[in-house]
Amino acid sequence: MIPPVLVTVKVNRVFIPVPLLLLWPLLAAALVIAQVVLPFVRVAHTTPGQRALMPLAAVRLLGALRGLRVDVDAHDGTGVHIRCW
Amino acid sequence: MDENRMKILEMVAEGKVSVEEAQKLLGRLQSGGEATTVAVGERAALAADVSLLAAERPIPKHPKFLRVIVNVSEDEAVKVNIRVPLALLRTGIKLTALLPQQAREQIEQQGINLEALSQLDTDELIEALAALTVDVDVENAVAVRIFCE
Repeated sequence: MIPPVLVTVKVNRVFIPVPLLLLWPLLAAALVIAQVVLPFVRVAHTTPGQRALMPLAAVRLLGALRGLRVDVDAHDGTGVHIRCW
Repeated sequence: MDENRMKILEMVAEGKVSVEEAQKLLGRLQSGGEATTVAVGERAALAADVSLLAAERPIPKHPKFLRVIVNVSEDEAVKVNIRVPLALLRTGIKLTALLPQQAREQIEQQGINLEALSQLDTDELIEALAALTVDVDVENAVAVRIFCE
């Protein structure tokens, strides 16, 4: 599951592209650190095994968001457009 | 006429129409072709029926997205177009394995069997959703379409 490369958000006339590709190294570093640290951090009522699966599950969830598209257009021309590439 | 016949045969091959429906359409085509006094409008209507059926959404074999399209065409028109990746469904089901034990117990007390949910064959579920089509029309004011593609 590859995380999204680009997320674009357009609210009314404001267009915000978020190049997630540039954040991939940071995401990889966070994944490695979380994978090492989380099993040893106490999170209520979870087993170390479950905690070890959490970082990868988070990345998979991000990857599953690819292709998400939300377009809401109101009658007065305002609207919200969210795309995940 | 050959073009309409081909379209009907293609629709049978793709599963859009049943054999009986195709037979009726072919019958109408044949009777329209043999009659010498068939009105132009009637032939056009038959061609339109065939074209309409051909234009209907094909059923995908491996759907990847759930689409929700809402058009509200009353005074304050609103259009909503949502495309949700079905991979989220797979990932969501797998996330149930990460729930804390206490949360699992409370959910199961509400009658939800998480064990059965986690053992669900998501590929089979997603393929079963391929034929999902919901069309809602409310007095030409609100139109809702839900389908998988």
